[in-house]
Amino acid sequence: MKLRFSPTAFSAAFCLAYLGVFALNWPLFYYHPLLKQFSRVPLTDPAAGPAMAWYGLMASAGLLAACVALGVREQWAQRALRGHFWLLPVTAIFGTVFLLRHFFR
Amino acid sequence: MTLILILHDLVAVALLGALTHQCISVLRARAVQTASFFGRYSSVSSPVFTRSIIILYVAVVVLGAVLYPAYRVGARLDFEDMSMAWAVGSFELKEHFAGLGLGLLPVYARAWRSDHDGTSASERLSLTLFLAGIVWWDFLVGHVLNNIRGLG
Repeated sequence: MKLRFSPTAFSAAFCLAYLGVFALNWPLFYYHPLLKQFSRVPLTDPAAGPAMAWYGLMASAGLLAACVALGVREQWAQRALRGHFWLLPVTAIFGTVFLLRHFFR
Repeated sequence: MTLILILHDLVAVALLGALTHQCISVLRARAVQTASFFGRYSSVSSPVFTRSIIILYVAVVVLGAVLYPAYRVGARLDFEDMSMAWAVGSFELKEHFAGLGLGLLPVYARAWRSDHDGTSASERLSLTLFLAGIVWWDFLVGHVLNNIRGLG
């Protein structure tokens, strides 16, 4: 069976999934740069240093988006989003700014 | 790490140039036949640029991802010590915007693949402008933060 991949569905789903996993703090994994170690949850040991979520957020959003892209036909995704696709990245951008607003107070 | 940072900057400059070139070309819908600098600048074949832009974008993000741990345990702590929350926040925005841009590359590639696959000119324009906005933001933030922190 040949797998179909919809680039439109992938990008659309990625925007929403990224905003979702970021808002809910659902990275697939964390990375501890001091230890050079990945972990499923942030390590509580102070010696572990800061935990980085970005790689895990990218993986979470990419995985979710890939599932959607494999399950949706490209023609359907294009038809559904024609003329409105731009709303998705704009929503993701403004959502991200909103979630990080505490840095700019 | 300094060498990777410089390489990251150089690839980012190439990406910035290519994407800005494509933006100007798309914004000027009609091909310009004049021999002026601006005429030549805006009359490029945008589809030709697309593959290069995608390769450069992925390269910049990969190099940025390699550098990110060093930033997290180095420069970011300095910014926090200096109570520069806006600098930390600007970098956070930079990383998240870069990630969102990476996720948009498949639809951007599809939009520029052909004029006859149902993609409208406005979709191509919005996607190209969106990516250019991300790249400009990321470039300027990276440049300003690097000026604050310096190399090393």
